[in-house]
Amino acid sequence: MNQSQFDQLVERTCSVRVTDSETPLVDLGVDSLHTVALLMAIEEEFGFEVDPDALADPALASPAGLLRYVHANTASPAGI
Amino acid sequence: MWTDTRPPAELPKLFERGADVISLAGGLPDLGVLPLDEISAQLGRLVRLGGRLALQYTTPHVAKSLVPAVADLMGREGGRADADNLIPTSGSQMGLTAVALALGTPGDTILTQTPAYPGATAAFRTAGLLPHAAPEDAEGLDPAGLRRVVTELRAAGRTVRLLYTNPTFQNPTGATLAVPRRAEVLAACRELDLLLVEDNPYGLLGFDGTTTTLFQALDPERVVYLGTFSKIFAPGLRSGWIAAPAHLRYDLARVAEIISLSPSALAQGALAAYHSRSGWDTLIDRYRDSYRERCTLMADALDAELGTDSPWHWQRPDGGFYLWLRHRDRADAGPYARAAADRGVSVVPGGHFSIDGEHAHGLRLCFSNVPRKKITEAVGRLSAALTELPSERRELAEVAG
Ligand SMILES: Cc1ncc(COP(=O)(O)O)c(C=O)c1O
Repeated sequence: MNQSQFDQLVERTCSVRVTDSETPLVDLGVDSLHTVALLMAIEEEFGFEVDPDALADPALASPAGLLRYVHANTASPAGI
Repeated sequence: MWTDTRPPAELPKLFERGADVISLAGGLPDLGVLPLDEISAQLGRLVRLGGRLALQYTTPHVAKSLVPAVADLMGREGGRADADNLIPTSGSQMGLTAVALALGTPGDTILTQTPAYPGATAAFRTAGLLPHAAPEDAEGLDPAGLRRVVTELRAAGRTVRLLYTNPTFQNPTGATLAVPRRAEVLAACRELDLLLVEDNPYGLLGFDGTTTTLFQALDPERVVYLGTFSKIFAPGLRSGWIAAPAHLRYDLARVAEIISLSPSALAQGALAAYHSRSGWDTLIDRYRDSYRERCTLMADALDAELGTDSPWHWQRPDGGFYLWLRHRDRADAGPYARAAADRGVSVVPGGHFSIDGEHAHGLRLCFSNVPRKKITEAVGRLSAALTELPSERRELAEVAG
């Protein structure tokens, strides 16, 4: 999934407009229950267990940061 | 106690079940249609990922993530919901109490469509309001009658500011008020400066998917709308909402906060997650299918058992949970309901839906939760009780007593 597709997932799940993928979710207007909804949607979409504390790291708390986190957790081992 | 009322504001004992009793009494949804695996997975995720939030107190708002789910539901009947006009409730029962406490003053009269959901009249009385039957004609609520009755009541010194209605697939009659009538009723409300309280748990449960434009859609500033997830998702989450005119939002939110302090973030989160993943269509369609099938089985069985010259009349509903029988000669249905209970089928006699006994000749049958294969048996038992002559009952009672 590329960034613009991921931003659409954020927009759909959180009813916000993602103007810039590096903008923190809070500044996009995503409230805390919405953030949980987003993590739930990510688990369903990508099929791995999200760490409940993932967003405690401010570097991850934006659409771009979250997609990096998704890629880090779903990357297939090299060469396979 | 201040909340003691005359007549006592008690709810009928709807949810009790005996051994071989088939219950047509309580208005329980058919939760057999719920996708429990999916809901369980989502609840598990919600608690693991957001438990410290979802299990915490929260502010008296409909969570932002839930607003689209509410707007989706209300939009299906033309209604409008946005974050600014919504107040969370633990279901419409709380909505009714909040409306009565926030918008009424003890001693005020509240015009109430009858036969009425007993939980509504009980809530009004508990808040110190005096329910008064709203005038009706063959089409339902009658705008000309409203003008007359409100004028009379006010001339007699009564304060009348509220009109309560359950306009679509009404509990207990199954009746729906037509849209042109709704517009006329609203015109009368504007003239008389009445607020209309629209209680709509069943509006999306038309058997063929037909919906009716909400009062709230026709005049959002005159209507306090009570919505609930009880009948399109599940009552156990105890979650609903009030969609309020801007000028009443604050008063209603304040009273809602006094009643419950905080809505359930867990319930709101679960509903939001379900809606954002699956939408409402599939679940609502499954509920509709279930109720259409059960209603048809029950109405066909009643046709077969009671025939056309029975003193008991009814109309086939087009949606909702209920079938409403009325005795042609206005005989009190109470003894018939007791006779039915003796034969192992429970129904609710019309007295419970009355303000002052005026619908005592009615009987409410609920088809929404009775197992399909027991419907014919239930109607057989009921018909035996209904065709028993009241005089035989009296003799039996005399022998017994
Ligand atoms: C007309 C009506 N209003 C309100 C309610 C209360 O529903 P809840 O509190 O579960 O939303 C019911 C329940 O059966 C009802 O029939």
